[in-house]
Amino acid sequence: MTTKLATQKKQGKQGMLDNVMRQFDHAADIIDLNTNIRKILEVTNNELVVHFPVRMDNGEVEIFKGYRVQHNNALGPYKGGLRYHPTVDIDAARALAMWMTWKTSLAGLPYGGAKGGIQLDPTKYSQDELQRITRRFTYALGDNIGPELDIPAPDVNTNPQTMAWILDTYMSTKSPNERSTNMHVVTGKPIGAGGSEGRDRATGYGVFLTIKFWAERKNVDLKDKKFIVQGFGNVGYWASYFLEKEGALLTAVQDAYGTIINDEGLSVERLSEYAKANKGSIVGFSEGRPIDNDAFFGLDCDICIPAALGNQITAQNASKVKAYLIAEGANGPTDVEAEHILLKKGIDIIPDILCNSGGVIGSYFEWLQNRNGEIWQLDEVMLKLEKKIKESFSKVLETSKTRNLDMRTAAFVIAIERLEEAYVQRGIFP
Amino acid sequence: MKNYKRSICATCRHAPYCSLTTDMSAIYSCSEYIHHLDEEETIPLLVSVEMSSTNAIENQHKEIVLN
Repeated sequence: MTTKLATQKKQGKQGMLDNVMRQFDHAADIIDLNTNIRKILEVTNNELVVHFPVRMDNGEVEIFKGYRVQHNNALGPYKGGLRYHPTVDIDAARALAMWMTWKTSLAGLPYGGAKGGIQLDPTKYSQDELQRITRRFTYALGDNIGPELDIPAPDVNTNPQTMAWILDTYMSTKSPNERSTNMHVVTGKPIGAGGSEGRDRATGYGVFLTIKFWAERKNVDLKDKKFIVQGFGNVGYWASYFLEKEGALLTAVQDAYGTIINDEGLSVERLSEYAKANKGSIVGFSEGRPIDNDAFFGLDCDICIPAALGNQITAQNASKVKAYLIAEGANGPTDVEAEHILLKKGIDIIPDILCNSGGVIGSYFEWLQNRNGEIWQLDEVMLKLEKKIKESFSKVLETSKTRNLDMRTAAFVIAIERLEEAYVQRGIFP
Repeated sequence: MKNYKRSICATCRHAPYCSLTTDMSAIYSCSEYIHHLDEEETIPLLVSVEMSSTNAIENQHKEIVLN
């Protein structure tokens, strides 16, 4: 196991790291961020690369490469997901770790940012092998993670079961009298193993709340407003569920299989039931008719929720958008050029860093419950989530107004200023 | 399966027919990504009886988020 400190002046920038750095630089320039603090935030605190052996089902030993990048912990323990995928590398982990620092800072959480994972194709391994890989990776990370140091969570190809394995392995390395005090070493656990009520719907509920708060500020009644959703997974489903309860109409949905539309409204529950019974696909739902996929973002609606993946609203389709509000449930669904076009047209954008922050806030609540030996009821979790997101939303809107910034830039400004304040107050050791 | 060097689409079941995007070169997160572990529906969660909760069944709609 090797621990490598990030000592380079400038780290290699590729892909997503470029985007994250560009957003950071833009906000840092606006607030004229202290030069020394900028130097600190431009690089990661720690980058851990581990190689570890695991015995496969056939008796052979395979060596795996795992990463954990800890970007910044000025505000609290590092927090971020672990993914299992062939594309996991140090650049991706750096970018995603940095992104987590801004996200937790904006959400007002006592966390920093981290990301990591194992470079592997999970489809090539059995469940037993994945369990052994997870446990051996946890052992290799050792005390570089911990409930008050660095708290992993599920990400691509990791889930509550993976978190339960990590928890069990981590606890097993502790003395018996310490074990039960380490439940909060990971979040996103199964409810029966220390997970939190409401964690499943936290991100989608957060998306809905930001739309609701926006509507309140703009004196818009959500009843009978038409909304379209790209992605009918966890985030898309729950955001639609809560909007429908508010009286809004889901008029179009796009998932990996296709796009359906019904101007009179699609029932969220019936669509969900249909998709479950149809291998996850919305295509063929009797209440909707199929349309061309390329037409989706130009559909007539009031609210557009891209809740699937990045770079969906681009210079090519931005001018066709008819919605007056875009709520970014996914990460990075609007590219830079498209954002200019949309803002020029007077379309409001609730930026991803704010809009989908319900997930990490839900994780924070799980961590808090484990730490304090408490179990909160669902309604309690939802109320606390609402309070937290309202606080972030109000700050972003106020900053946007008072400093004449778009909401995305305002969100970054708030996140970075919170970190700057921490450094200014604490100083730099020694 | 195509070898998208910087994209989770490289291992996504939807990639051959995905209606969401044609540019799969740099996808870092996607709510439609088919979760390998969730495909194995017959594998139960390894939670002891003492730790299990009747509410666990409500924990549907698992997600992929950056946290």
